[in-house]
Amino acid sequence: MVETRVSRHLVPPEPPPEASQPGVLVWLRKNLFYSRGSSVLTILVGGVILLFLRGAIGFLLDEVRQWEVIPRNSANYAIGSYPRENIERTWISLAVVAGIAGLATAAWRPVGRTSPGKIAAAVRSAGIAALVLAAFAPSTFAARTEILIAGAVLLILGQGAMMLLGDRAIDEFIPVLLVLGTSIVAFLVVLWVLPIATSTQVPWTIVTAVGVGSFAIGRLLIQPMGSAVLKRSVVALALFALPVLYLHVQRAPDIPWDRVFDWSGWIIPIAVVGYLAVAFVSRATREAAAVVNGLLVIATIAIWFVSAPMAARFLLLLLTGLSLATPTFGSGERGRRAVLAVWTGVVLVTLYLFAIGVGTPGLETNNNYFAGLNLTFMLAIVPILLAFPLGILMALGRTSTMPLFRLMSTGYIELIRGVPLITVLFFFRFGVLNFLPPGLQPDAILLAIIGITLFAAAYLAENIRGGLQSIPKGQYEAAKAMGMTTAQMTMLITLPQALRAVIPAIVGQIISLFKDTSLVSIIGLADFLRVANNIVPGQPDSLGTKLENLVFAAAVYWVFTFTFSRSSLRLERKLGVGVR
Amino acid sequence: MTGNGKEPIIVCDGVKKWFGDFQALRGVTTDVGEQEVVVVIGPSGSGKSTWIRCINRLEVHQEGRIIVDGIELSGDVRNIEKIRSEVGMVFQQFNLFPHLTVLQNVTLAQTWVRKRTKAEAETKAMDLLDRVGIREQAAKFPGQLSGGQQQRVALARSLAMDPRIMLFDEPTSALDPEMIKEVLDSMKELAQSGMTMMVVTHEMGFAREVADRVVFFDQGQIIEEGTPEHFFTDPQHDRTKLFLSQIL
Repeated sequence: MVETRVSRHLVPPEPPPEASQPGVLVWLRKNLFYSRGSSVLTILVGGVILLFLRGAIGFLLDEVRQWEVIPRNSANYAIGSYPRENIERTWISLAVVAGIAGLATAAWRPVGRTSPGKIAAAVRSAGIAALVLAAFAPSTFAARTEILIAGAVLLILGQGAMMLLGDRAIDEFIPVLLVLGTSIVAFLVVLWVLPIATSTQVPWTIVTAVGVGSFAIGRLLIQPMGSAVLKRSVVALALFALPVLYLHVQRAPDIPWDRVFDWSGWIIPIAVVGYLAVAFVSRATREAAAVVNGLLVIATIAIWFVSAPMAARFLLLLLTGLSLATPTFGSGERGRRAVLAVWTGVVLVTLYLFAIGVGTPGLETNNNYFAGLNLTFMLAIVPILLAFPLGILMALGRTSTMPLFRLMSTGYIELIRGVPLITVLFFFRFGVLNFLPPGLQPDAILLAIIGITLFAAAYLAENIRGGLQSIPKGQYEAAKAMGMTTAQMTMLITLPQALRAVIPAIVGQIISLFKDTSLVSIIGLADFLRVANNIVPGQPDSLGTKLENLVFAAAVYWVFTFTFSRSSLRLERKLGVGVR
Repeated sequence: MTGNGKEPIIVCDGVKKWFGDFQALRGVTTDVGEQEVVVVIGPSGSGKSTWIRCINRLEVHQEGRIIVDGIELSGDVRNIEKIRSEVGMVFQQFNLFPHLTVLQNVTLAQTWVRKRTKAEAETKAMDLLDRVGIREQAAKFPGQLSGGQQQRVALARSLAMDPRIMLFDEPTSALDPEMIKEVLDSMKELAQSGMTMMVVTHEMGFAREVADRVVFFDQGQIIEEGTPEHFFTDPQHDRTKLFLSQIL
């Protein structure tokens, strides 16, 4: 028999039961020794780890090792053979980067918080680890003293802080910004107190001051400008600073304006015709726009069959692309102004790039301007930025319904993916010059950048294609049902979602690209790894230190990639908010 | 013949459609008048969704004619986007854009397709969100809303385009019973305001109360159509009787 039961009063919600803090022994038992098998495995694996660490620390502390070559060669590592009489240009670049970083920190204000207890515990753990490892290390006591002292100091500091803070250690939180500020102060103190790098004390201090100063300026600007505008400005500033720093501050070419006017016979007509065409298309009826665009397409193809400067061909190609996109994105007064501004920008940038960059006499021999970490960053950052638009285009081409686009993209992607990066680099360094018209002789770094860009774009395209395929059909249907064109649907609905979905894959790709830049040493560029492998150990006062330098290089690569992968995790979490 | 005697805004004449060898539509012929509310019912897989998806050309019919607002839908239609922007659609799975806020969902197509300024679009969006009763959710992301709220956002998103016709493809089928009512109420209000609507649904209460005409669909064709009174009280065809006996 079923009894009718009615619950007349609503049970109020209760707090969850208090979690008890398990003791060390309980934790060990629960996690490491919960069965006979697990105990055996714990001891076995723990032993292997200890043995490995013992060997590593023994290597680090070995008296044969000359670690002092690394600080002595810090300038070589950073900038390679960059002319030392111009070294202030590097410092200026660094200060600009610090300034942008300061502004970015103000704009994106890291609001994370951390508890002082956590920091103190981490310091104490580091101290314990140092003590244990130094005690285990297979080296003389003298070699270990420094580590032992450091470990003891860390242990006392951490334990002391924990005892001082008591219960507050876990409950109280301090902003991450405070931790960052403290680290900067600590950096400056170390810089001025320890006699590591006396020659760079002043420039480093200035760079740091610029960073902190621009952070303060950013904080002042955020109120009147609004956070979104400030963020956009910082991004624009960073993108603008990149070519300026590399091409003007560090490289200091005089712009050979005569080269610009060499092909002025083409540039001015194309610029004017382009402006008129885009202005017309943005207003015209569909049919009239199609006629103009058709003529442009024919002209774009035809110009490759007459003798014309490369720049004119590229400019016409860009014009046609823009004009084809205008009916979709450039209607309305606002869109019209936008496409006209884009065209003006394209003309100016093309002019500028062809004037300063490609094949300028005197610059080809200046490869040694860029070397060391400076070059490694350049070869990672510039190709990544360039590969993004290209990769997106290829991904869209491969998923396009138009067979010709699909064939082209698929062919490109499969060709590049079927070939090792080294081959691509060799081809661009030694092969491609045969195909270029005389007068167009890019230097080795530019060729390496092009090679890496094309290589990265193919892989990026595949990642993005994966993202596009993960978008449910309903998203396309909803966009279409509201009358969006295919281009609008792609730019506004599917592509943004696809890019978000593949952040982990893209980050992985960027990390491996950063490491793959070390391959450029085989085409004669002195990147960071080459400095570590050949240049520093080749110095008369640093002979026989290859091992130390390679270990250092590995550590530097690791620090950068690890930092990057951590920050991408944070980005993923942030973008994950409200996604599903 | 339209159900309310007004000029037809949608004309279907012998519409046929195949998926591979399977014929989903076997010659659908009917007209929908301006401001008419047509409710399409029928068993699953009968082709009723396919039919209304043909009307904004999300599906392409292979034979017969469909004329929407005076324009025949065919392979020659140059400006399908123009027609689609006049025909709103609400889907079973809402299909909101998860990377945009509710407000952005409602303003996006207004600014890009209707070329309204941001301010105009936002005013319109807030009015519509108010009308469907979720003004205070405007800054949230779709993933943070309940199913019923999401579907009302989808309704507001479609209405923001000022469509002349609204299509509903099982708008309440993915919702909890408690949320169905809030969506149906918004749809009722829309019907009373004089919108031309085609609704595929299993909500017989809605059909009885709101429809000018009920269309019963089976095996890719219209088996029976008529006013709700006729349809629910005096069905003629055996298949209709069987269907109604099973669901009522």
